[in-house]
Amino acid sequence: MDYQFVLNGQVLAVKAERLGDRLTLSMPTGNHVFDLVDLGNGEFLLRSDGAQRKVVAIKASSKVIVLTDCITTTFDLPSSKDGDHFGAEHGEHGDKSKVVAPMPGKVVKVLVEPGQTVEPKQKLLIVEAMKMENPLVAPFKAEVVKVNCIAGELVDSDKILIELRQIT
Amino acid sequence: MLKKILIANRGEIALRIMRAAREMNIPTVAVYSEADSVALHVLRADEAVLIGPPPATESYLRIDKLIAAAKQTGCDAVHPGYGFLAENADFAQAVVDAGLIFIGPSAESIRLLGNKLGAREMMLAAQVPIVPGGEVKSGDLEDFVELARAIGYPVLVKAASGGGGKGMRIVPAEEQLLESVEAARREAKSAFSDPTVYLERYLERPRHIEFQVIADSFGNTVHLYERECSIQRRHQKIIEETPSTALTPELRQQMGQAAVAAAKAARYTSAGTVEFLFFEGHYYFLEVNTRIQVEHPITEMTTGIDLVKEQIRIASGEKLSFAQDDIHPRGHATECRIYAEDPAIGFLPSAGRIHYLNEPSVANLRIDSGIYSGCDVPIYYDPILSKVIAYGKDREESTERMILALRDYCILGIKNNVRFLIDCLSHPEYRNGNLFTGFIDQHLPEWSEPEIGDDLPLALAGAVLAMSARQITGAEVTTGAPVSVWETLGRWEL
Repeated sequence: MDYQFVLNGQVLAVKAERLGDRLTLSMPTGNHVFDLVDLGNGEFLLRSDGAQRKVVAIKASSKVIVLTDCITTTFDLPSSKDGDHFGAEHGEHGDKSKVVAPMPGKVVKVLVEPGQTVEPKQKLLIVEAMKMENPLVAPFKAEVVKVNCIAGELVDSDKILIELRQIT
Repeated sequence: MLKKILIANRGEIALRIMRAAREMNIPTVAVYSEADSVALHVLRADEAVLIGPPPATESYLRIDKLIAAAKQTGCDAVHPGYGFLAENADFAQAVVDAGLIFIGPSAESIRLLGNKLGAREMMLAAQVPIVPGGEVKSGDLEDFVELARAIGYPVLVKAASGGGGKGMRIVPAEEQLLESVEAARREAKSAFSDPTVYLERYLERPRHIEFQVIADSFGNTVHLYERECSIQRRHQKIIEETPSTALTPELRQQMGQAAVAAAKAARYTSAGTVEFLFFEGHYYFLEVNTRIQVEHPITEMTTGIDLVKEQIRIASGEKLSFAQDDIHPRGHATECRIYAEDPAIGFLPSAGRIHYLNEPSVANLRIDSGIYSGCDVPIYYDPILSKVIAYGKDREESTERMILALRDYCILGIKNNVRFLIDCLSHPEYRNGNLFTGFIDQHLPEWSEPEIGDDLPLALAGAVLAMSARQITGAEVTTGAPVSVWETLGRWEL
């Protein structure tokens, strides 16, 4: 069975074969063999080269979240029915010119206007969530192209609030 | 003894109070907003009353609805927990006016101490040292500029009715003063319904050391020693411990006496906390928190006293069952607060569904938790999820136990600070006890979550297993849309 996972914008292709309790992963970098014990609730023991590691892995909508020794790795899943959409997302990953709401909240204040030049780390707007005011800042020197929100507006996570054009 | 208690709060503290009451055979009533209908504090309650829509201003902050819920369910007392209305004198008064008992200090004490400016004046009169600063009576922005110049930069803008870092801003120089005053006013108004702010000299590298006090209605006031809470981010504590590595026995005794004097000056009853800033061997009164504190469990671990039960006994009109000389703390206790937040991007709060939760269970470890596998963390409230408290014979053992416990504390689905806490506790300066409130900014400024590195094949193996239908049944129970809470809570005692 072939799988694709996206980590930090990079597509990882994995071929997985499962025979009983043995899982073999074939990757461009080599093969990896694990003996597994399914503990239920998304918990697995994976044994490889004599070492035994506990892994917790949960699929949640378009992501797979994996916990190994206190390190959380979130893999995005490519959209199966819409190849273009995936391409766009992939291309956009790490596109810092679109300032998005990191979580649902209320826009308290918009501090910039279209056409304005902003410096790195300059505050663009303030979003209130969980009773804290959280400033969103410019990732680099840029021109403000578009402001898509107004003070007082309730915004969902991932909504594009401000669009920037990087000045190099 | 009280007959039935309404708990005017949510999350882990509601559960903590419920547990104390249950151990005393007192039934409790939970309240909840529409966002919390399957929150753990509701599922565990003897009875639960819906009090309104998700925003706190329409539910947990509605005095009228809370009192109506208490009356309707036949309660004779109300415990406010921390946050929300815990330090609201009007609430304490309204509870009493409704013929109910408020489990906490009197409305008068809350009013006296809750106004940070009034408290400063009271301590000045009682000759307890305070941080230089003051109020701008006119409220004019120009007068703030003048006062800040007189105090000297950097200054701290603080909310007069504040707490927990809300409505607080450090101002390094005059250019930022007005913007900070305005932001602090907005935050203070939204959090405490009072936009009044004042200025204080900002001490650069202080420790935050507080003393637990407890007083009955017969004039007996006892302190239960200190808690050091210097590890903070955005002025909110994340790691607390007792005892503090900074205090000599003499200082500890002096500060304990000052704390008792402060409580007596305000005719304080119930549990409270006197906070000090500690800098170069000197202590300065900061404020009194007129509530049970988030970090109260570490005091319970070292003194053996159950503070919530004591609050309930005092509210029932009983005398303190111990005197100052009976209190002999032993060992060392550390608490870590588990928050739904992302330490890699300025501790931005996170919300959403917890798909998987595993909390460790070992000797000398206590977990006060308000979450379960499959629960949703709403955006509307403080992002605290739970608290891990580790006891040890000394600081070393307590810290080691905490690190191991956190390594076993697994939350999947929302960003959280577990890994960050481990890195704090493992820092050499933490291990040496060299703490100050700017510790995180100084020692872990550009922290980011460690990446998977060489374990990528292991993580991918996990991902493949999660993808295969046979394996995900457990997860799908929690990720699927409508699901009975009884199913997800199968292994809980209800």
